[in-house]
Amino acid sequence: MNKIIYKLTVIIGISFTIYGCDYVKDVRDPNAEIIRGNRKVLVEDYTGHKCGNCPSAADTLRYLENKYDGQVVPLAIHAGFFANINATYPTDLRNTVGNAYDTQFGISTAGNPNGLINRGGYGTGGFIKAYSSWEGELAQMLSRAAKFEIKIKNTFTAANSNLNTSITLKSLTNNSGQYKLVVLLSEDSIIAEQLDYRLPSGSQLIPNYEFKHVLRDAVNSAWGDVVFSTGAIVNDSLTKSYSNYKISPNYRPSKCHIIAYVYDADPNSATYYEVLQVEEASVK
Amino acid sequence: MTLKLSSKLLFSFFIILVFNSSFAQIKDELGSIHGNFQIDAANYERDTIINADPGSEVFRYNAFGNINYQKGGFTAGVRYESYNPPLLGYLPGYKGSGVPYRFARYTHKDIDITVGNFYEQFGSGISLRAYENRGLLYDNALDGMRVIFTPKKGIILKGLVGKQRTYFSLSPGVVRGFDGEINLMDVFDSILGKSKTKIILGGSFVSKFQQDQNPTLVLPENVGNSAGRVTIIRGGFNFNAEYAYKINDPSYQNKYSYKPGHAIIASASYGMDGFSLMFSGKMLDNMSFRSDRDAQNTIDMINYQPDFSKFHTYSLMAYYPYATQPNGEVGGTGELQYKFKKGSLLGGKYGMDITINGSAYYGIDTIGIAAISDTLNNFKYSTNYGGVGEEYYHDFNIEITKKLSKKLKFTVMYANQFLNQSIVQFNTPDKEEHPDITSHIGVLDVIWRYKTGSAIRFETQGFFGSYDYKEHKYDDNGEKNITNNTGSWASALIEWTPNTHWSITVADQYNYNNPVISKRVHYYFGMIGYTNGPTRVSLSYGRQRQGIFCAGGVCRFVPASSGLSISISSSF
Amino acid sequence: MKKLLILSSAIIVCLSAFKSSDGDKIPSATVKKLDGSTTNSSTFVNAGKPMIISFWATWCKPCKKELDAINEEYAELVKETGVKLIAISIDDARSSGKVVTDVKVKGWTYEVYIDENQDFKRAMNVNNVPHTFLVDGDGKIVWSHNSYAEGDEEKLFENVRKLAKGEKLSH
Repeated sequence: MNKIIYKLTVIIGISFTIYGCDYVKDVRDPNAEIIRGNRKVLVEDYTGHKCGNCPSAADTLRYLENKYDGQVVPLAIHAGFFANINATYPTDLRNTVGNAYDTQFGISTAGNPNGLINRGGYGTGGFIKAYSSWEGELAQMLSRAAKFEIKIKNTFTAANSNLNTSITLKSLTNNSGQYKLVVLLSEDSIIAEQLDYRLPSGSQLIPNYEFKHVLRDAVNSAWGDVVFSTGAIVNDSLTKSYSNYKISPNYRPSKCHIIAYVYDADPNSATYYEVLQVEEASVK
Repeated sequence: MTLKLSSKLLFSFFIILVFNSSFAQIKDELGSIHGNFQIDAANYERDTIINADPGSEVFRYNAFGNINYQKGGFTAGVRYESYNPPLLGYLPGYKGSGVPYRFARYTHKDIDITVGNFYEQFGSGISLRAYENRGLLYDNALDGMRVIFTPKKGIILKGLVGKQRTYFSLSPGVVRGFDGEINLMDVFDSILGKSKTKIILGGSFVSKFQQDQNPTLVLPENVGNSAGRVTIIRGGFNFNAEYAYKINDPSYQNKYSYKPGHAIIASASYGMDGFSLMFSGKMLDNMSFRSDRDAQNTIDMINYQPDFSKFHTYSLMAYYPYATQPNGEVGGTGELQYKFKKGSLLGGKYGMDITINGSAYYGIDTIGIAAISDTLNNFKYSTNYGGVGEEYYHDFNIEITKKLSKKLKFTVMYANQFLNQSIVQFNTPDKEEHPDITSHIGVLDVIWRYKTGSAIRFETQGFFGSYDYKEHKYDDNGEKNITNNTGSWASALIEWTPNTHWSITVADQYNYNNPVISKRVHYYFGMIGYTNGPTRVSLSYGRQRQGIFCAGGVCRFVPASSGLSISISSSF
Repeated sequence: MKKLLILSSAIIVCLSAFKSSDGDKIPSATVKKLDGSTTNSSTFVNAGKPMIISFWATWCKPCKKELDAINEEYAELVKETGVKLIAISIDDARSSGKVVTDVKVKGWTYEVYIDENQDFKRAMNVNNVPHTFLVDGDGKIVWSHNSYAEGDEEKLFENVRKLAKGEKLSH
């Protein structure tokens, strides 16, 4: 008996040595292809202007946005310690919606930069994703079929900054869970101060950094409204209209977008909080 | 805390209680049940003066309880853990309750098999170390299977496979490991049995598997880490060395560098009655090894890169602690201990102890390393193994302990420390925001045993720091001084132990010359502790300054807090 | 705050109901001798005489104070009761090199083992060091004490003497 175990251990040991290593010669994957599915993915970048490592994450997001053109909905959320304002960083990009997300998902406690890819894997402790893993996580999400389709129709009246937005949802499969719809407002191309550690010491403060797709507000609320409360079968559809939403005079409507997403709101579901579909449309 | 939760907790205690009282008496036939538990809870207050803001959840706790069952060679156990939410400064992933640890183990003669969760260490830990540190909430237990086989005295073979604990779930990668150790004296007993020199050789191989999901890069799915070690002991002389080599392992930690990793760790010591000398040195290059290549903080670490610098217990000596730099470092620590004999000139009537300790750690000398790189362009550099990079840390300290009479004993200690804060704690090249810190720290600690079983301890410390800013500038509201420049500190503590059960402590730390005048505040603290056998209960109230706590090469930022805390631990 | 009180009082009630389940044998775990070889904790014996098992670490001041305090009377106590002290260091690779030098410098004559990955500590359900156990002549764990305050060793000596005479202990 002992001899058998002895031999087994030796064999297992040797096989480890042979099969336990993948030496990589060519770093770029020559067979890389982009998945084209019907699902769009919400990539949230939790960031702050005093976070010197955050521009690397923002660049990663920009890269993904370009590479997966039309399949990624990017959103930058400024919250936590690094987003606090002071004399050097006077521009406040925080808001109650972003703070609510940051607190719920514990991002700034874990550190910045960090991201959520469709808020997948909430049930596991490791749902907060380092930006190095975003592309891999994104590819996983893109490879799964969408459960819903979202269409956004915006009507904006410049005279009184009034926005009417109507969101049409269509169920693409039979869905029997609990779902909520969240409608957010983001503003693009905000110029303000940002710290960037990639620059030489002494010139790391960029005075005119361009902040992309910054979360500004929720048209309904951070955690949204219930939709398809009795479930939905294929091709069921509904329209939610939000009228008379006033865009703050501090935001430029020409740079604003409406982001609408449906997420799994069933606390007992394995995919609790996961964004099942997301869509984006400019206000104007 | 919700009602649901407290009832849950109560229920688990009830279970422990029932188990304990009903099984303890009939243990011989049914085996025995043992366990321990600890609860640390705090009710935080908002304290704007020290920047303490607990948010909306002011009551927080960390709790765990172990129950182990043993009968003969069979052991099984579970650990229940609960954090709702965890105390301030702990990773937010530890939220909720569950049983993340359960195992069954069977030992019979030369075979030892564990299924479920287990902890393990190969050699010094540079190839694999699964361990827990409950105080730091570090736990990378493996969940899988392990076999330890001892074919004959002096030979130990270990094989294991499993996934690592990640909060209340498991890491995405699989860890497989094999380790063998041979004690030459035991194995070749007939030839070497009488030799005064003892030699132990060991070797290990650990491989992790994680799927490559990245569409752009080719990531190695199997990454191997192999290590060899030797221990030589003769009389009071001890020598230990281990070398490890890890193949390409791009990770978030090393900014997706495909360069292989190397590590050499060695220590030598000599000890005799009243005198000892010890030296430990290491050179680490890209040896961070995790079962999830994108893991952060203290999560999913497979190996352990030891830090040899002195583990300070006086709070101001540990104000700016060092931690192993996971991407690479070179350096060493030496320590000399000497005991002046009773009756000698310096020893006096009761003798005197002196310890001199020194550490110096540097970055590795690299060529072509960019400070921060876009992760999508993998990162290339080469290492000059002959040289050293910039200084990371040094600590030279001397400690003298002397007993003046049967009742009075004192310790004086001085340390000179340097910390390259920007690299060590913040992993950035930004010296402007995180300046280098040089400090002088002094401690006086006096114990007066005024009668048998009763004592008063008085301790005072001073921290005198200078902060090497490239440019001196502070914001109006002191934002730049959050963790960086707090000037100098003084502290005093009185601990009264009237008998062996009770202890009462009052302490104050005063940040007397913070560059921001409004932050020159007192951090007062009071504690009452009660101990009875294996049970310890303590109640404390006061302010806790923000600080950095380091473990396993990763530092944890703990925010300032204020409030009432209770801690209870016991075993049965 | 109210919840804190409820929680703590509940725990204290539970605690007071705890019965000492002392009297089990030393559990089995692998520990390292100072000469680098390994041994199993279940083989700790002292020929029918009592044993003290003390968990300590090189970085733990109270632990070293306790072991120093015991050391002052140890030779006498051994002569009187035949007791043996087994000191278990829980130092890991960071400081395990210092165990042997600390022991030599301090001139401790205890039997010292290193529990580098804390397997024995877990098996003995030790939360924090110092934690001291007393084992009677039959190899059963009959008493334990967590933490160290000046003068605690007196109680330990008293208990060792009682055990040597075959008397029962109470906490």
